[in-house]
Amino acid sequence: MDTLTKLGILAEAARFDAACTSSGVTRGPSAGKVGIASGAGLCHTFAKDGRCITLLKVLMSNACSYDCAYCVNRSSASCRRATFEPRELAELTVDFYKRNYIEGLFLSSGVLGTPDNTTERMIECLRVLREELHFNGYVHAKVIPGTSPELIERIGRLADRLSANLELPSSSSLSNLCPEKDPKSIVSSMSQIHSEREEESRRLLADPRQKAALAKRHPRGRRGASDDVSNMGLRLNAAAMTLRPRDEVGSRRRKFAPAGQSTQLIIGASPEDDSHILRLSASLYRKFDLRRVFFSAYIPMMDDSRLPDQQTPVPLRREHRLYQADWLMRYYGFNPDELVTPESPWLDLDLDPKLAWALTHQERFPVEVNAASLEELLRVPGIGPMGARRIIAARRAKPLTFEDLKALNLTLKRARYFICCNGVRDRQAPLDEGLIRSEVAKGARQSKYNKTRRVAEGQLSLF
Amino acid sequence: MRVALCCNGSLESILSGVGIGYLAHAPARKLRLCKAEAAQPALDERLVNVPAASLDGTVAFATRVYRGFERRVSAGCPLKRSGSCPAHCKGSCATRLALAAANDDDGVPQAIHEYVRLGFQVGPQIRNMLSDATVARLDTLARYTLTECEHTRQFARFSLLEDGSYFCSFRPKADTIPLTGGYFAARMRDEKFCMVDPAHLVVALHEPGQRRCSVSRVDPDLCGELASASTQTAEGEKYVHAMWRRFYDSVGLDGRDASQRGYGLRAHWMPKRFWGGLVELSPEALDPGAVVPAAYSPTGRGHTKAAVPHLGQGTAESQT
Repeated sequence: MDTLTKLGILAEAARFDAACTSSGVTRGPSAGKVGIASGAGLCHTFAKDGRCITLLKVLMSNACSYDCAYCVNRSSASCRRATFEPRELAELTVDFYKRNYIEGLFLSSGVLGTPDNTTERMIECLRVLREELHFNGYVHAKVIPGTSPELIERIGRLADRLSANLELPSSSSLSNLCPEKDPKSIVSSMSQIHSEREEESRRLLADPRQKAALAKRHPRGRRGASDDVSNMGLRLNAAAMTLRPRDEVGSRRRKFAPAGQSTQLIIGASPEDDSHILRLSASLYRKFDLRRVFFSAYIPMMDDSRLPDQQTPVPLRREHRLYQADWLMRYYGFNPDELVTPESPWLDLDLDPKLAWALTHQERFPVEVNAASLEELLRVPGIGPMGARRIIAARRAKPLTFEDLKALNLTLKRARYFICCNGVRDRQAPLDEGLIRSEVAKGARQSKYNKTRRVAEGQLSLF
Repeated sequence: MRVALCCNGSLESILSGVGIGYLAHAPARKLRLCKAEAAQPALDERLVNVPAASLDGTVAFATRVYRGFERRVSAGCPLKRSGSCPAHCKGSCATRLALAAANDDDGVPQAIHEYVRLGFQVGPQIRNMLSDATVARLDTLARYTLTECEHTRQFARFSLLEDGSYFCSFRPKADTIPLTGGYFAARMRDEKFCMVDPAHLVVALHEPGQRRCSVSRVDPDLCGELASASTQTAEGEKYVHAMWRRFYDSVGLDGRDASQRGYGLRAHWMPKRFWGGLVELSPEALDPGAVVPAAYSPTGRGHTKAAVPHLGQGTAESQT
């Protein structure tokens, strides 16, 4: 089988994995090496479904010996199987990179016999890529559940980011749908990656030379870029504006998984509610210092009594709302209890979670834009991490009016209900809480996206 | 009588125009800067060209204006203090002049003129005047250029030529090649490559090992000649294009496209004006050609198998 055919099979086999970012590590050029890595990431193209393609995301092999119910590559599925040779895939990565198609490689695999056997093959591919072809770009590698700690340590030194997929939001669902996968082994891989990174941090911080370099790197203290409002007129990327404490060491000095680790959860294949998923995400961020938790809406492909019926619509809106909630936790300082409760455990599909929160907490509004803190501004629907910082920078020059806010490119259509300038509210925004609620919610529910999804999901439209 | 001062659209020419206005003691309301090719005088306006000086003279004069502006606005700039200004310009407010000048908009000369005058008037305070109409206008122009730079980094596509160098032709809506040449030089430090922008008649050439590209303005004939080089691709290049096209076609998921969302997410993130230059959307890339590069041929890679540990231990067999 030639590479063209294999590539088609193994790219198709990998497409259900949602994660495809090249962010989190900055690495400049180096003599004799191919490529760089840019911290903000770069999307080189977008698939027909609109998903960003930044890495060559393929499986090493789809000849999997596991039989996970939801997976198109499961051993009992009758699909074409293929396996890349390590050098073949490494050369393909470099060839695509030099033509500016990709930022690097995203390497995953079906389980070729045993997890260790699979990981050794992946390591060999990354070794050729890094040591023989001198590739200096981005590499994301999957950790196969059950891989030995020594191999995780080795692959972590070749890859920028590692990810161990939890796959399903609870261990009971995992044992039901993936009987061969042991939830404990996934968590222990995540724990090992976290410990190795912590250990590396301690080692680097104990070195006096590194300490001096780091003090120079963070002249403004631990929060660093998150409260920096300089040069707001030109900033385009809000990626550095997360409110989470930044990594004290940074990616440049790290040797083991410098871009950290992430995981993925499949949404809609098992019965867990949004409350469960968001709490699980928050706990993963806290416990293992994950960079991202990715959500992948389950696409019914398999006829299996343990899974939703094949006619079930893809829960695209649910995935979208979960991502929005995830961003609220990482960039806006929300915690899961503010977004979902045990009494109402599902996110509203028609309203974005921040708007839904604001409508149920109208006692906190309007916010005075000329006096509010960054945290308060971030709670206003229509004001994002960039907009909030632009307001703070602009109000140093003069008190702001609604006209000024328009010049700052804020989404006033939503924000105007929840803010005031110098004590004055927007003339077109109603004062009554009930009216605000009905007007804002009506606007959101009538969006093209909501209308289309309601039809696709088989719900009756009320408007 | 008001004056419309015509310049050629380059930053040097615009800043020279600003400097001439200053030396002539012309009040801002009496002077407007415009691009010569788009000059449209108002009823009470007289068109005047920026005096043609030698190239060195224009650059020296523009540099004087730029340095003066930089000194005036950059006092206390945190980016200057921490050394984190991306362009090492010692004052980000001066950097945005270059970004705005790279924009194709006809209003660029006047926007820069007004911004520079405001900067000289208010000094470092200009950095916080984000809602001021003059600053917002310049920021909009500069941000657009930055977005086009990002598009260049995203969607420029290189092909391997017969001589072993890489070639790319890209048409952005701003003069981004001079601004992104350094990025591509870092990305492909050991490669020889050429980038051509037929819309702005700019060529960036890179030699292996160089930290930067050499950027030149060329005439349309030479630009066309260079662009024709894209047809002289290396043997096996069609196969690489076909592989990329196959990969692209394989990763899209049904059930998540525009019909399911109510809007096209792909067209939103990837403007259609770039689609013609993308290998992954080119019908020609469906044909892999007759030549399969040795590295991808089932018979041409005997050297790899020995290096693979534990082959054949799994349940699956490699089909190579």
